[in-house]
Amino acid sequence: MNWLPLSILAYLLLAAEPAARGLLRLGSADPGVWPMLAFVLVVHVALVASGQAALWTALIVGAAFDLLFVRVGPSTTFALVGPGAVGFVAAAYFVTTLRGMVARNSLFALAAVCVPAAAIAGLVAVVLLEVRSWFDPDMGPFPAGSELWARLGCALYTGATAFAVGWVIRLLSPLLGLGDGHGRRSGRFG
Amino acid sequence: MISRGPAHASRRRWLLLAVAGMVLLALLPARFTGFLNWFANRATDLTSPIHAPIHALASWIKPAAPALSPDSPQTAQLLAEIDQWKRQVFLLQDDLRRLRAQSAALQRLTDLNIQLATRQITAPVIGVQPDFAQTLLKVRAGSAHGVTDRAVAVFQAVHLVGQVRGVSDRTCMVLPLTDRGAGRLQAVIFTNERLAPRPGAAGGALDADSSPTTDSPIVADQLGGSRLVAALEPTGRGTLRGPVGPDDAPGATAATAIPEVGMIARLRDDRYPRDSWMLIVGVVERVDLQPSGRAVVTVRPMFVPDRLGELTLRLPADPAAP
Repeated sequence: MNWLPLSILAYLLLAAEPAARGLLRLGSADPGVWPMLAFVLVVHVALVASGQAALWTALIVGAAFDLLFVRVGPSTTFALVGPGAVGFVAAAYFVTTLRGMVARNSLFALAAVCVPAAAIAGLVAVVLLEVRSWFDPDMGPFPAGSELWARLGCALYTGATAFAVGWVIRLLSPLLGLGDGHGRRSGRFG
Repeated sequence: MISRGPAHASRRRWLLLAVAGMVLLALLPARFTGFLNWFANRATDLTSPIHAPIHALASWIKPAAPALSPDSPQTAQLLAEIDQWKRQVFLLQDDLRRLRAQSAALQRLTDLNIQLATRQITAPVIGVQPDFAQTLLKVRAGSAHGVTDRAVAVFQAVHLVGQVRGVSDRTCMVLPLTDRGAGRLQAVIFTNERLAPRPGAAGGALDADSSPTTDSPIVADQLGGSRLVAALEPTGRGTLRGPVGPDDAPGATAATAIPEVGMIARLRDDRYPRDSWMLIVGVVERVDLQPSGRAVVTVRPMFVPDRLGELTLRLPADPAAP
């Protein structure tokens, strides 16, 4: 896996993420539903790269993802790093355990795997945020139920957009050192 | 079987440590993780070059408000000026009522406060941060331009957008008033001020297929009508909702009227600087009468916050001023 091209692609997807949220958002109520572009890259890497590389990619992209979205509490505005990163790692781990059963060079497989993986990432993030809200007054009220539903909606939306994003990623796969999508190893930590 | 050496085990150990660190960061209260703000600001700076053009494209595809009619730009400009002057009149009227109820000394102090000049800077919105928790507008103006936390953001000079919540050197974040995190807002509704009725619509009432926009004309049949006070809370659906009561401010006339659809809600909240009072919060789009007889209004701003291409920040003219 070539880390430099992968980093550049991750940067482009992460930078496009906030604006794409505004453009592709569904629903007028808060929280709305939008696709997670960079997450598709994480799932693709988890499908075709070695387990360690997949988990590290998920961790780094997840942490960068967290840094892009500051939170406003009752008394302060703060960056919250962790929920996205841990959620992405959990999702990548899920994909690495599952990938032996799917056709990894198929866009349909990528889209299909994105949905449960994004749901897992969302679930982990909501659990961490809920726990944090118990003792951190700066979090303010945390509507865990509605946020979980929104994240499940995002998971479906991410799966739908994975066709387009995945197509671009697969075009660049040789450049990224990810082969043709068949992957080199099938073990979880291979 | 593939043999895995100590290097593999070491990498795995580092990975587990990194994940544990992320869990710790996720759970640590915000007061211990202030250093992360520096990284977040750098991440914002790094992604802005990509973010801004995409947001500009998005704003072009989904504009904040319909463009002014190309065949009558002068009319639209005049209507905007009328709104500005009307706001000035309401502001002065409110000041007059309050000043009559105060002692001479307080009048003098308050008068000094009212004269506090504001400086306005117009800055582009370079991105929207719609998150599960809140929607923030990322604006290309920061502490280097004199922007301070809690500065008031407006659209087209008279429409309240929200408050600055988080400032870095070159950018700041604006929390729209419709976001659930913005909290309760005190507004005043003038019973004699409402949207001008559209041709064919009855009594200025709103209908489902035509939401008011910032270029919708507002008419006031006479100045000095009775006022109602509303405690509005964001609903999370782009509106604010809350109960309405009579204005009990000193000097205000008692109002027995109930609010009506199409009336205009204006800011009058102690948490905002006084020079921001009477900015337009939105238009009453729904009135519900409770069994107790009390009215609950739903107010919708006349623009969509996350479609704004630019906004204006109201700052103290003297940065050293409170």
